[in-house]
Amino acid sequence: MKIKSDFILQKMTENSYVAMPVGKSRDLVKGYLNVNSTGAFLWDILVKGATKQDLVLALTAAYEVDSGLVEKDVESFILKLNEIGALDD
Amino acid sequence: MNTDLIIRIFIMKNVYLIAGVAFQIEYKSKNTELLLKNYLCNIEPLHVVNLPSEEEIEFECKMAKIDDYNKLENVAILRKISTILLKKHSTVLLHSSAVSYNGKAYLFTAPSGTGKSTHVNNLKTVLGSKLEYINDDKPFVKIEEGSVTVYGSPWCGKHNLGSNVNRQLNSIIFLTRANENYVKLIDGNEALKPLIRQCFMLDNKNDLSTLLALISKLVNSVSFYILGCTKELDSAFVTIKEIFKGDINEN
Repeated sequence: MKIKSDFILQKMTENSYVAMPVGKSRDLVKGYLNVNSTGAFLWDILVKGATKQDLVLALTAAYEVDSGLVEKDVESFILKLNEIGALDD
Repeated sequence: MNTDLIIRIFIMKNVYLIAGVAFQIEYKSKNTELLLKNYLCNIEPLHVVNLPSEEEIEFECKMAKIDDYNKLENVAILRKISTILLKKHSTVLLHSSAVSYNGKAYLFTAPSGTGKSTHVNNLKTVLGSKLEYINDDKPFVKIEEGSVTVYGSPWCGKHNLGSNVNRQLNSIIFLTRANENYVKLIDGNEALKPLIRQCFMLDNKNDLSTLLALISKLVNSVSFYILGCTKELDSAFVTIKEIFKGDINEN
């Protein structure tokens, strides 16, 4: 999985980011997502391309938590990214 | 209609002060000349806005679904100016109705057809000359560290309500149609999405990033409200009391 090149992530407030596509065809109802700092951490990895397992490993390493706990979070984040059409593959 | 009568053969150019920035603007349409006339100025221009190209007019033709050079020329000019203001002057075009009360600016924003104009009209009925129209459709908002300024612009909507003034921004109000009037203060995070939706957008990554960075400054600088309101005059009193913090008995 990889973040599509026409999507950007911008920090807006302390723990809040916005993800959205660039371009004339942008749909601001569907193509918009509020992302927290954990999501932003995953986004940065996905910009280079990663599997679900890569993301789980990176999160458990960075936050010293059990992989069982973060797997659901990773899955729901991927689901959200797919909803706004931000992922290739 | 013979449009040759109102579109000049020669290119005209004048300098206009828009959102505090001097632009030399080229045009041929009489309609553009009339629209811009209150913004004429006598200072050295900082930017030159060339006559819109055929491609630029064609683009506006597709967007607006009208085919009349007289109406499209100024829209193409607006797009050029908005782009320069965003990229070079930390200034955003925010689709809204801008008014001022007690010297402070308030922006009412909502998707088209929600009733911004009706509400602002109700405010005008109650407040009379105490309420000043800044711009009923496309004001410019300059976002600087510690200060946000709203500027009137020549593009002030179908009722042509606006003036060439600037005021410090106090609040942005997201209007929604409701059966009862209410006001809710919201935080910056909640304001982000509706705010982004009402801004003039650009189509490359750097510019969109510039816009979002400005909006992130804006959400930390002013207050945001959701205003549920009816079409009735009562709705004005709620805004005056809860948002303008004005004394209703005075009016």
